Amino acid sequence: MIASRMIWLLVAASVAVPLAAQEPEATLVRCAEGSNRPCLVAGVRLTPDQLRRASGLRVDSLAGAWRARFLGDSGLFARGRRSRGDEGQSNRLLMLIDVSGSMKNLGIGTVKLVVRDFLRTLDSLPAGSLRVAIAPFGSRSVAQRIKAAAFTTPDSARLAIDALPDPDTENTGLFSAVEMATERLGTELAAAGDGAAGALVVITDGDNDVGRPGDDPGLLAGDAGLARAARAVDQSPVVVSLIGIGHLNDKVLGTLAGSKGRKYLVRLDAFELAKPLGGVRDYFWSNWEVAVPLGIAREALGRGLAPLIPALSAGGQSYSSPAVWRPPVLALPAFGGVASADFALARVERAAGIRSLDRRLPLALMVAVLLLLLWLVVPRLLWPPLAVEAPEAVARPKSPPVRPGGLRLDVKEIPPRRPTDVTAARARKA
Amino acid sequence: MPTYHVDLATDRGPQRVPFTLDDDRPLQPQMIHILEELRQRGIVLRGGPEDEVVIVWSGREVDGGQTPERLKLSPAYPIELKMRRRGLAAARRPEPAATPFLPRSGYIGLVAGVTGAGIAWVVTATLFTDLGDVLISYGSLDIAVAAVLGGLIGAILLGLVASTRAESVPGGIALGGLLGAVGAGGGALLGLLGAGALGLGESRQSFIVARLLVWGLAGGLAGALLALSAVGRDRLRPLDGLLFGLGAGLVGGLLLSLPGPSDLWQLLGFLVIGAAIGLAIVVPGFRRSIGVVELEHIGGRSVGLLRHRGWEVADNRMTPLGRAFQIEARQGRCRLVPTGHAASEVVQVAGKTVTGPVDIVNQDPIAIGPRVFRFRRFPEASL
Repeated sequence: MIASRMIWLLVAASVAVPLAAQEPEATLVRCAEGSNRPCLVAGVRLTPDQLRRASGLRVDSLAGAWRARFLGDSGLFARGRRSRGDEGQSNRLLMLIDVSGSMKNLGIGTVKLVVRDFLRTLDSLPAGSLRVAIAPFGSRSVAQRIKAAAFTTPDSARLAIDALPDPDTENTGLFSAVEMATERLGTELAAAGDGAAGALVVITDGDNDVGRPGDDPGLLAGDAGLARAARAVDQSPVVVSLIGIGHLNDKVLGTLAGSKGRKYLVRLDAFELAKPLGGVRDYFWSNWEVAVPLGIAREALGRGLAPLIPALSAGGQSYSSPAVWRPPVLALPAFGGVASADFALARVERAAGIRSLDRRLPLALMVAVLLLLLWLVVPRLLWPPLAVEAPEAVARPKSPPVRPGGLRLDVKEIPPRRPTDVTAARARKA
Repeated sequence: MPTYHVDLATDRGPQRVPFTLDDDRPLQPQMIHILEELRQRGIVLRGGPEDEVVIVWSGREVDGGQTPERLKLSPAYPIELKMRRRGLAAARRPEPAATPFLPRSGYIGLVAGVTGAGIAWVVTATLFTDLGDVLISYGSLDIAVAAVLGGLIGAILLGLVASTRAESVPGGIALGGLLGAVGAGGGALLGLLGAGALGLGESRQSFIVARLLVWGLAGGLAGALLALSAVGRDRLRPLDGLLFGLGAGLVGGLLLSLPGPSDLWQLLGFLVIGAAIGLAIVVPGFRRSIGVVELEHIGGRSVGLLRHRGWEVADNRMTPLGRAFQIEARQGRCRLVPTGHAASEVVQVAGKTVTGPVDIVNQDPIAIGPRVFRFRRFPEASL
């Protein structure tokens, strides 16, 4: 058993490696246990643009927001589920935490607690998929602090929380911090390569308030500063989440977030603070698996390579990179398993009332009829039954019956010759 | 090695010379050797250029194609060599012109191949619906399906061929199953490895090339290995099997690449491969033969395909026809020759009871008891 499995593995590996090197493949599975309906399952990696569009949606809504294009049918229903997958890209999260004087005592304590918990929940994301940096901001050394923030694993980032300076007498350079942070993240993402997504989270409890003695010179302020910071958010490739604690100027925060960013105004409460951070975590779940129930039989999928193109219909149709459906070369496609119950396809299939698409029986009947014709009918047409009279039996002269013991009774012995018998016609001359 | 006396009818009158003969070698070449040796001494048989040599022992003509041991010759009587007019009997019976005909044995090859392929499709379509612990990938699935296809085509084909030639049917089934499965499975494996090595399968076009490679090699190797069973009768048969199987495999691969119902296209591809291999095992051999002897009826009643008997008659070969007789073909002429075994039934050629070697011509019926065979000459082998 082990030996045969090893041989198959060797064969499969030798065959599969060159074929699977380029593009992700779609897998054929049963849509539900006991169902003959084929489903193609493909891994999808959301693009940063798709991630941004989907950032406001709940996971359940996102699972049902999939469509697919396959074999000329562009409106196929599909269901998605989050997948750990294998991460090739490393996403980036920069958290700016306000350390102005108003955050003293309870404020900074609550934020540290919530952010530490939030970083712990990032363990549910695929390993290595996210690097986090935490930077304090106030009104002093704003640029230096943001530049000095190191992107590291969520685990290590917890150490940076402990290293946050205690709030003292600083003011809030919110506009400048947001502008500098978006710039820093843009640089980081460019270095991380295509496909990496980024997010900026700003936690603050005060409106922009700079220009006092001791503050950094040139910090953005006023309407012009707000407009510049808002433009930076709007042009940034990252998702900006502004979390305001307490009674902040809602209008200013809304202007700063613009159409691409998100703003949250919460009370100083650990539970309320954690809610928007949960959305940020979901935003980084870029690996999805999409199951596409097909309306054709499994056996009809054997023609050749065909692209399966999933599309996310959140905030407008957005196609992902295609997965390749690769049928067997000689055999008919076989199911590689059953679609995960997470897709909730069984319920969908029951609701659709789709029956088995099995065509084996009619084709087997066709084979039987063909063989019947070839074995029984065609020979009679090609070689009609002969109108031959049975030949007269050519038999050897029958021997008389032999009695038990082997004694033949029909043999007559010739009487012994007598001296007077003459054989020749004429008597021999003396 | 006993020493025989060989009597010769020469121009100088009868002569007797002693010669030592090998008991285990056919008589004819040894006699030719003797005549060549005597000719060097200036001794030749009396006769004309149209005559042929006859070997007679103990008053009966013996078959030169057999060994002295088989003919049960003994040195107690001399072997007599003399010349007689060639084809005297045949000359008396004019041979009907050979006309094209469809040998039933060829049709049986086709039907057997199609039957094996059809059953293989039903089996694979029923059994191989899911990957699992054994078939873990589509590559292993391809190899398994090819092996089942080749095995079933081979088992039914060689089983039926064995039945037609009155040979061991279980032996034919086992040999065919083995050769077909190894050939088709091995061909598919080679095709997959070759496609992988060549980097085929990354685009639609190269996937089709990979498919043609796998189908072609599976069909070709299955055909070649199955035809090995007939290599003793015809050395070119494996080449026939290879070419027919390869061509059919390519057609099958193209069929499966058609848009629409892949299962139907795969079934048609299987049937094409089965038919081609079935024909390859039987039909090209006919082209290199003089004719066929086929069972026509038993006691006036036609027989079905399963009870059919037939043999191709190849030139310069002995074709066994039952236990007591065989057909000897030399230079396009055929003779029915007793094997030396006692015949349990009366044998007639063209209505005349056979007691010794007798010439047979096109359309001659050969009756062995109630079974009536007919010798048919292919037009290409007309005299």
